[in-house]
Amino acid sequence: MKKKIKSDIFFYIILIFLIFLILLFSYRAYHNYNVLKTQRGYLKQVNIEIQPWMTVHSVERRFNLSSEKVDKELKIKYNISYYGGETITSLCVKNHLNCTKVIEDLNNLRNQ
Amino acid sequence: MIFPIFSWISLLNFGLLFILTLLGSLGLVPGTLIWIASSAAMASSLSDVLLIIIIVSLAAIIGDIIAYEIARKFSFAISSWLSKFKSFQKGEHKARNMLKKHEFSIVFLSRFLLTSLDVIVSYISGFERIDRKKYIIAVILGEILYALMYTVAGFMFKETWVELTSVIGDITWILVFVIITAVVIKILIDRKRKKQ
Repeated sequence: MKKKIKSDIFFYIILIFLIFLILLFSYRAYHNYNVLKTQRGYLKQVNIEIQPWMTVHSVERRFNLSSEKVDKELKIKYNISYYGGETITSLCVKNHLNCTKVIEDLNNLRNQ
Repeated sequence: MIFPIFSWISLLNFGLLFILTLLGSLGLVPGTLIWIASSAAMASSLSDVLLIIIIVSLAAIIGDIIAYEIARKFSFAISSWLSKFKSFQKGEHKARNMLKKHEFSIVFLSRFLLTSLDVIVSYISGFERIDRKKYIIAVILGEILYALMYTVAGFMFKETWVELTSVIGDITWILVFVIITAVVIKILIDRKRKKQ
């Protein structure tokens, strides 16, 4: 009998833990969805500037910047782990760069 | 540019995408979804998207079949080793019956919906020697859907695909936890009924 009660408690603990995980991931999904919505909304505007969440290739394409200039600014080194879909933020972290300054410089390059 | 892997759509890029997706299906390379969505975001025309869909589905199907065959080949040796453990003997029969009962839907859903489980399911399917024909059909249908969904999403969402993959990943985990919660609730209800 004691064993059964113990295993029941074990299942209830698992259940509470699972509900907690569902709530946690639901919150994260909701947050990420809001970020996605904001980004999509921003891209629909007429006058847009380079943002930290934009990918390297989208910056090159959308703002007509040469890849050499962007690569130099973000200190991109080509290797097997690099792909152009990386965001400016992640590259700033990876290459130990001041992201605010990089964005500012990229926007200046665009306006030149 | 010295080595721009995905900066332009070319044969080299398609070849790399094929190899990475194939290795991803075998569980040797993580984050295949990122490569697929990323390359689709860089596609400039619908023909590029179509080519990516074909390459990704082909590579994923081949990878899944290789994983299944590897696990199937070693299933006797591994199961005889595992049968030495009492805890394995108890649960093995039950797990095998459950897998056989829902083999098609488990394999099919794990290809495009519960993508974090697809490699594990491939190896378990081979290990449990589930019906080869059923497995291959489920893999073909599931992987085509997988390639279609994520390539089109990558192409349509372009710059915002990073956030999009995060949302898809979160929803996948929610689904996994909901399924496990349903199983735990069912176990608790069954236990209560037995007590009564």
